[in-house]
Amino acid sequence: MKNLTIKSILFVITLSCSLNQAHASDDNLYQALGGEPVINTITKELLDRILNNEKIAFLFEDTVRDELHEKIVSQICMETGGPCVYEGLDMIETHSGMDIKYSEFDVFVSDFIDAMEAAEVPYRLQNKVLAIFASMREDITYE
Amino acid sequence: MRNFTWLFIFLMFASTLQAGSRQLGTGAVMQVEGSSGSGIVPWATIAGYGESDETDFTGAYTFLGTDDYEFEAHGVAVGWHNRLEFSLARQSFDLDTLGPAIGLPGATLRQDVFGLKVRLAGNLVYTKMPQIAFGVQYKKNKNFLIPGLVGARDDSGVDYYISASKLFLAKPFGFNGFATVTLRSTEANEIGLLGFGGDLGSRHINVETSLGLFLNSSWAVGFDFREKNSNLSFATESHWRDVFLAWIPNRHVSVVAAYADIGDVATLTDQKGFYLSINGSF
Repeated sequence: MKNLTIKSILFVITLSCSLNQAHASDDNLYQALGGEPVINTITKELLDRILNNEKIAFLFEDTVRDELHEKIVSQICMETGGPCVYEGLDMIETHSGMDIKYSEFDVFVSDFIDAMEAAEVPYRLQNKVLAIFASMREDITYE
Repeated sequence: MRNFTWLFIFLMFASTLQAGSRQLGTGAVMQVEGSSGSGIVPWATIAGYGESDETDFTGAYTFLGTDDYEFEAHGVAVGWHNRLEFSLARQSFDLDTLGPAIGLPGATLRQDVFGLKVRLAGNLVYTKMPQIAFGVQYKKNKNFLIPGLVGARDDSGVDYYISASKLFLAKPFGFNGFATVTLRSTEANEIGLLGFGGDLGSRHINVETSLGLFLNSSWAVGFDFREKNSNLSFATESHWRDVFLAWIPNRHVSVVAAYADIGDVATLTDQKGFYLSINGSF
């Protein structure tokens, strides 16, 4: 029994160490991107695209651009390990009732890639950012 | 030359239309039997770029020239809702050396392949699990004289395959890697160009694999391997392999150049050569 407890404690320590490590490498991603100025540029480029893309613009009809800008910046900042706290609703709540299709999600991702390209984010960093957001597809879409 | 003219017209036409919304490269390219995949291996991908409410059409022309043979394939495919794929490929295999040697100058082996593929689960890019698909290729040999003479039993056959494909975002080293493993049940001799079954047996289960890496958003490099078996005692078959370079400038066009090694084919040894495939999608 005692042995098991020790093992459990070791397991939890190992797990939290590995989580910390993961966080440390995310921290580098925020820095590698160029911090808040670059994330601001990416977000501006993204909004220029999605708000004018006839395939998905209607999804943002009820949002105010400045508020959306702020939310996206803080989310990218937090997810890449920057010193921000995203305070909006989570991805499921934010998109519930919007019936977002897979194709619309993909159109958004394409615009996001183009936005990172416009912000001169190197290809390999783009992929690292996409890897973080790709897993959110099921939370955002309704299929 | 006529092929290229038609292809050019097709590509001009294709680029005026809309393509589906899936990410660049996720439609893969048309493999030699008409299915979505890489040069010689079918992947779990559905042809074109259509998502669950979109349908895309793809056409491709493929050429492989070795020392003693010339292979050509024309194919069309439709990818429906990123769920189903129908394809048709017409293959021809010119026996440049063998034909004259057996008193049949100009001899060509021909085959049509009808393909059906269904995506069963997963998404190539977005899910942790790989994309998994089941496919069927019905093959009809159109010129059975030579296959019959060398001992093939049937002029038609069905290949069944199950395939798992995955794109690894930012892996390795920040690049996007991709991998496919396909298990195929087949009785084809030289993919069916030499008929089906023979004196040494008939159905086998073979492993095929494809590995590669996107160097940037429009260039990819990779490697294919396809296990083969010998049903005909007159000549052993070799496993096939190739290394490829793919250029995917947009959702309408992709070009694959490869160096393929198809080994010993119908008694002629060490067949290697350049492979070129041009795809259009809309």
